[in-house]
Amino acid sequence: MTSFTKSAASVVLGGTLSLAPGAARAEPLPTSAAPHPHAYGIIVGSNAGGAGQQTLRYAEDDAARVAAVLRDLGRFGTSDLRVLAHPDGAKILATLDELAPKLKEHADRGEQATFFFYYSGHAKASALTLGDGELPLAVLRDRLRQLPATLTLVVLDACQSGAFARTKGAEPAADFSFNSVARLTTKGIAVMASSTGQELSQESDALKSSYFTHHLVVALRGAGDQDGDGKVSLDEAYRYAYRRTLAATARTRVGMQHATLETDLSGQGDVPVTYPAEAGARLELPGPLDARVLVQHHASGSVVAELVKAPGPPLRLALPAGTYDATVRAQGQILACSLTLSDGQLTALELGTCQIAAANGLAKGFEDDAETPPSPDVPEGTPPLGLREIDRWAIEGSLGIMTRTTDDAYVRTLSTFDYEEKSPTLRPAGRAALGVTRFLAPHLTLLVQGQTLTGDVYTRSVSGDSDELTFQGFGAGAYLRAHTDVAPRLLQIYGQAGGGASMATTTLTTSADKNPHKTSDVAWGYLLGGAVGVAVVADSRVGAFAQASYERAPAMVNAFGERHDVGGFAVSLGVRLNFGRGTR
Amino acid sequence: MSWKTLAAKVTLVGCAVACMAPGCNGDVLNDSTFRLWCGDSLCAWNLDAGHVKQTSTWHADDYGVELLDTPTQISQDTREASDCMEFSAVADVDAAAGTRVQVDFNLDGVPDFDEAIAETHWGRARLLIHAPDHFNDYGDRVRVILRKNGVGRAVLAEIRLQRVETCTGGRTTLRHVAVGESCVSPAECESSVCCGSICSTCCATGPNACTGGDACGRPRVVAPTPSPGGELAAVPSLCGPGLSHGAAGAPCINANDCASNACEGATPESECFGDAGCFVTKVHPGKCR
Repeated sequence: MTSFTKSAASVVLGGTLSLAPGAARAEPLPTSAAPHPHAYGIIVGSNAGGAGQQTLRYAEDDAARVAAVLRDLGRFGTSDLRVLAHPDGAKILATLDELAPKLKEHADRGEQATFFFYYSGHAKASALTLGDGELPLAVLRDRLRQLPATLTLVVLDACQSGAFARTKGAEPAADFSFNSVARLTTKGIAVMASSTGQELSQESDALKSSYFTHHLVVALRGAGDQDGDGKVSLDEAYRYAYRRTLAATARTRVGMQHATLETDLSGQGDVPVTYPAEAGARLELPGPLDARVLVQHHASGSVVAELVKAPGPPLRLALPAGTYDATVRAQGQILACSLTLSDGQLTALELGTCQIAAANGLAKGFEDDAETPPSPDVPEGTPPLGLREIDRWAIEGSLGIMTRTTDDAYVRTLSTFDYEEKSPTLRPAGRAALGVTRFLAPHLTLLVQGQTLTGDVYTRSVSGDSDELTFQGFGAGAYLRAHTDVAPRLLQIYGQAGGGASMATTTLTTSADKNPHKTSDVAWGYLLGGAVGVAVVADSRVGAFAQASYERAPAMVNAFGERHDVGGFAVSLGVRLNFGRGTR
Repeated sequence: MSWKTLAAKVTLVGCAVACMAPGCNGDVLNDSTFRLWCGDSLCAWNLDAGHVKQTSTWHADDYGVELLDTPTQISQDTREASDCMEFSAVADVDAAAGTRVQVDFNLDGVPDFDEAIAETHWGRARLLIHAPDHFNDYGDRVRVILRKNGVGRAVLAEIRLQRVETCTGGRTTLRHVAVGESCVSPAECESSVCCGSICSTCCATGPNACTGGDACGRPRVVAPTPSPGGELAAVPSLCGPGLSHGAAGAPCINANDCASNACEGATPESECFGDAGCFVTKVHPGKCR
């Protein structure tokens, strides 16, 4: 029999020390030779908070994910795993009562039976908070203790959030998990909690899950299988969830979150929780890969795994068959990969088939962790939610030259009326542009830009009188820019197209009676344009670009209804400044 | 005349002087773009018939002139016309407007050049005008007439008459040239007789010879005082000059050309050349009483 560790005991006694991760481990038995026990479970998720508690976003979803991984990989039968969404305390107790006779039957037959209890929701020191009601911990402890299971696994994810990570449980004061364990030692039992009694647990909007449950599920899907035996043991799952939860929460405003595990196991050996090797569809991350990997379900976009792959043995994740998007951040590059997992197949992540989504930046969905040093230009305390909004924005300006349109109906009429272009036809007009960009998605950026268009001066001299027509065009529009790297961290090529409005100011000066008479007008038209260019990335904040563009802007109109295009072909050089860290 | 009108007229004179200098593109018309208005009339153009009004053209503030009535006629005596000129017009004229450009080379009130301005909607029409022979004899000035005879719209944005170097095509034939004026062919003369390049009443020989036994000859012209220098002018030929045979109404130079011994309206013009004295340079025949 393995007793509580000293730390645990100390915590129980004084509430000041915590167990080291995975400190307890049952005496090893060849589990592969042991028959798998019968498995039952109650999975509870409750978003509702009590008085003064904020409604959680993902507690019920987390319960569903845990149930899914247990059904898929934990050898739990559908009828034996009860999932309770926002139940009251009576419902939980009633469900326990329903399962207790089944466990007893196994016990009477001398069969091993495992019971799994998971709770995600609000809690306080003395009770689980289930909306307006509560389930006293004392009652729960007693009922769990009375279950005639060979092994009882209890996972409690009861904590919190904030601006991006809401806290679960308004009162982290009591050492909820250890107090619980202290009363659940009659049989083989393990209690894993998402944080210590002094900490708050957090949800992540990026993961759409609590940090702890997300990493626990990823561990159970295979990421936690350290020894590569195709099974994820309780100890392996805990080690993985502990490490990743701690890393992910290390730089949040709420603070670090230490998962805890206390066991009182006898003769169970290394307790397997899931069997990823038995899954129909699996994803393999190659052994040499040294990267952070984000796997999202393609259709829903939900994050199914966000993990760190260190060089070593291949890492295999058991996932439901389907299509996934994997984002791999390695060596300053971000690769976007598309994956299709099929039942009965092990699908390897082939980086050669991935596309470079960005370089020298972050991709949405990644959670910064302690294993990845923060970018030096990130202010201390910045929420590690991947791409910040400000990182998506940049300002850019350019100067260039632009050809004039010298043969359209408007100009021909000017010619008919003896107006001649004052400047040589081939002399290009100047062009200046200023715009703001917002990164929309990998390879896609929105540009909103104002710019000068062409201007010109036409003069006429008849009978000794000189007239002059001066005009200048301006444009403003929105462009969609598609871009891709040709040399990561150095060169990017892009193309853009869009439209908006153009404006032309005209001033006609006539000299009747030798007295100049000046008339100014403003005319409007549409603007359509496109450009191709190449951008040089100096660093995460500054870049330069050169582009060739064409704008059509028939803004000017005369009394005959003829329009003049103040657009034209242009070549420009510009500078781009990112407001934040940039999105490349 | 209001002070505005006076100012416009003064300006027009100033402009005319300025445009005699090089750089005026050879324009011989004032106010080619119809921008000088004196009230409801153009300052630089005579309104011979009908009414006109100021009308916008390609730009709301760039005006032309619209010929309103049927008929409407404006005209201008040019300065410094030349043997070869290009006429151009930017106009919006309907075919029904019957708009014509006419040129009176000898300022006798009879247009010698008459051409329609074809239908156009803000297009430019061009044509070359080759002056008649001996154009310089008429004093280098012409009268340009723009006339609308029909009921359609006629807006003139710009009318230019510019001196050019060469002309193709034949010269303009003068019409209804009075006796005593230069001529090239009998068709030019009001009398249908062109003798010795002067419109006359007879020729010494041929079908236009005098009948009734009188000889066809040139009357003697006496230059005005103070010092007759002689005859320089080409004098028209008359039947029986100095024989007092001219019936009432017959062309005459001197009184003794008429049976009544009275010739009315004969006006010899003379020019004096210093010590060389004064010479008759032109003779306008009169009519016998």
